[in-house]
Amino acid sequence: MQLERHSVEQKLENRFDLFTDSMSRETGADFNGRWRGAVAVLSLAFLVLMDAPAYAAKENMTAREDYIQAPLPAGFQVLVTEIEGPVFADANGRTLYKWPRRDLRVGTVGDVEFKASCGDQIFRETAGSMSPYPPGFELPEADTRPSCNQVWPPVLASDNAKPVDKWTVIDRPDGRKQWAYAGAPLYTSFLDKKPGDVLGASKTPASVDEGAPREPVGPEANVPFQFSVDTTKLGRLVSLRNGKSVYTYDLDSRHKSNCAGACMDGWAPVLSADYARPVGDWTTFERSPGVKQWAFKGMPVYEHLQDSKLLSLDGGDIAHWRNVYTQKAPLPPAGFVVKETSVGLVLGDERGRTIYMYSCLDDSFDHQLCDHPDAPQAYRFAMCGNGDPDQCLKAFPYVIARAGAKSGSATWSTMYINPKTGKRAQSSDPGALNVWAYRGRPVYTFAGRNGYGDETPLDLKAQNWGEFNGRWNGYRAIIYRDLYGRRDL
Amino acid sequence: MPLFNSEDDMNTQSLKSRKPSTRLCLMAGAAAIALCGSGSFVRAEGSDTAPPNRSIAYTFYDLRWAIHETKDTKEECPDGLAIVGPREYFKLKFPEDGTKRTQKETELAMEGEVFWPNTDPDTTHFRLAGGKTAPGLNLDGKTKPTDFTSPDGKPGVDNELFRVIGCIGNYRSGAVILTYDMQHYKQSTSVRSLIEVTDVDSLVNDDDVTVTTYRGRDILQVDASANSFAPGASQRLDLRWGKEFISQAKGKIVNGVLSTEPIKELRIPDESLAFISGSVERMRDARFELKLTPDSAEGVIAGYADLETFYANRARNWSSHHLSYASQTQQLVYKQLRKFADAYPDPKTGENTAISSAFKVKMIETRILRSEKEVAETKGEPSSSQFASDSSRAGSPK
Repeated sequence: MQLERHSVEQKLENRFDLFTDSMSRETGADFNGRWRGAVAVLSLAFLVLMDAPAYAAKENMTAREDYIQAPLPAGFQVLVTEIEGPVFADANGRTLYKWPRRDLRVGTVGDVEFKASCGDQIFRETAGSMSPYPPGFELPEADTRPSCNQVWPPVLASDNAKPVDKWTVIDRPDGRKQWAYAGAPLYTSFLDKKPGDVLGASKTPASVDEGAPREPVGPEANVPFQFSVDTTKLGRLVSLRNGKSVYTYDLDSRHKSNCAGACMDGWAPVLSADYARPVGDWTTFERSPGVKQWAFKGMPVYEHLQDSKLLSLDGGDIAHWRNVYTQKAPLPPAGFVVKETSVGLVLGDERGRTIYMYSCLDDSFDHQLCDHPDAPQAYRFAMCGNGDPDQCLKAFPYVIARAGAKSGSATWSTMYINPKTGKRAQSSDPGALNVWAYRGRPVYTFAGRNGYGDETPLDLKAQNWGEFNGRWNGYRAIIYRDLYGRRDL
Repeated sequence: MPLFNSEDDMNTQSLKSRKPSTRLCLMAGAAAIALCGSGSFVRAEGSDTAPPNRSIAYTFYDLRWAIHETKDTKEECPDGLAIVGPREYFKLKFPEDGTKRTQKETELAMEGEVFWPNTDPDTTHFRLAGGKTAPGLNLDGKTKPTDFTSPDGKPGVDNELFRVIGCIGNYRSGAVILTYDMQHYKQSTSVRSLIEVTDVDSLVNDDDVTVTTYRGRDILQVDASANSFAPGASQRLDLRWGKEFISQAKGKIVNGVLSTEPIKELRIPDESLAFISGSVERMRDARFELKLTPDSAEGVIAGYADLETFYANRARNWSSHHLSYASQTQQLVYKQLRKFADAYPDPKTGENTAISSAFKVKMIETRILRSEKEVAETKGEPSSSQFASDSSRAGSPK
């Protein structure tokens, strides 16, 4: 690995020469001087994410998470998806979602156990869920607004469907029957077009100011009881149940720990009970007489004693140590970079400019998504250009995909957009832009307004740009490693 | 807390990197520790003794925009505090008169205006702060009729930002938002700023010192009262993610007050409400004026705040909901910022892009904890406390 790193770093250094030269040419700024130090630190990020062949070989990008096999009703299946890991899907491969009830700033929305609140009613006015605005205003594109069930079709059950394990059948207000899992009524998303799509929502936790999003539903990860697995932008990250990340050590070998003596000052083996039995990819071995340690795919696992944050990646900064993932998230397409900023590792375009996503839930009782190009664009236009689509194109330009660009994953795609409407277009439409999209949503950079915009690779000046700190309706950077977003241990 | 960490002080590498005078101190053994170390220095308020290794560091634990406040507000805000917040502004724009309205023309237009403010005339009678007193420094070297006098009587203070925000409750002591902000400031390492003062021969009078700013990586050490912070706690430097926060200026100490030359652009992490926004305050020609003691430092950082950055940081960090706590309407603030901006004219439009301002800052004395690698990379003067970091034992940080 050290030899690999050495050669990779040399390549990266060369790449940085090109990068800084390019930045200097493009901007007129002295990127080889003033910003050289800033961009040079990106080398680690390139090593982590951008040198795909070496990284993929070492990290096993094709690994997929093991899950607990449990009985399923007929017609359902488990699909192991790129970002969310294993999810339940119907017979057509459509991912299943739930809508957990949540308290908002004003009122509550979502399903309670065994009761579906997403129905056929079409809401045309605001609910006033988010202070300080009152309810009762006509929603954008109210005349053509779909019902909740049109965008979140319920997973219907036949009249003679029988409960299986955690799967139950509930009665809907309209008299039909609907499947529920662990008490949560189940839906599919009209955004998911092919098996493996999870475009309706993510398992990533949302704050109160992000409204009440749906969540994909899936089986439990097949890990020993003391571990858990969380969705992160880098992959499905393994931690202890208290949130402490676990790591493996490159200098170990199968069921053989080489971390002893001074090494133990910084690292603690994750011990197993004497009676623990292997679980999926997890085994135990005797690290010293009478002391058993857990191993993932044969490699002993440890805690990093200096980690102070939940789901920390800090231990992985130390040579030979790496976080444990059940599966890694797809690499960004060629041409993107991952860079170091004051908040962590952030995605950038080929010139190092921060990449932003737009997120939005509308203020209705059924809380429809307004963050994708099939939804009304009035929300986004308000934030990106004070309602003016042309201003939006200047302030938050799309990231244009070159002709024939391929992502190599389902997570990243290209799509045609009508720049005037912000909605999908056909490739043959005059003026249509071919843009990059992450999880089915276009991505943007921030040129800004009145001299305020991202100027250097360090900038993320549009982070939290929008209503309710950009969480309710606004822009947020794609952060691969969030140094401060997780709460303390 | 002992001044010297025995492990570090016996560390040959650290020893080699120190200046000859320091080396002599260290080699002289226990007796010298008493002379060069904190035992006699740290607790001796007002002592005219050089700090160990001629350097001392302080970590920020309170940072707020500097305004002048009186209890009844009459001196600085004779008309009272601001009363037009987002709720009131919304009602002014969209009175409840039975008109059927859309979300696009109301809520979305309001929020759009927050992020796309304009300089159209304000008809809400924005309440500006005034009076003769304001904290800050004389930034332009002139004493103009419009300048303020500092609370300790220095004339010529430039702080036009005070006029704009001084009567807005959110910036004043006891405000809910400010309280949240300061909690976050004390708790989050994302905003852990610190300074290191080096080349210090005396903490009372020294005409040539160097001040370097950093972001730290560690929590603040609460003292036994749980209400304040303990001096002497360690702090690691964030030399990886926090590079943009490193800056340096020459300065001098006169009667225990440190003053620095202007820093061309000082960048300070400044987030609030625990929403990680990556927002960074950019202050041009920034200079420190701090009353130093061996245990703490307190004073102002003054300079010209970049107008658009100041505005956008508030919009990103404080939502309309939060701003409603104390009647702050962002887009109305913008109009005044543009009106009172007093520096760095745009070469094309001639309009000023920065506004004179100041932070009030409180700091606690800190021991900088450097890894052996960082010590080895330090080519200039070593810091006061170059302890080997625990993390370096397990492997070299990437």
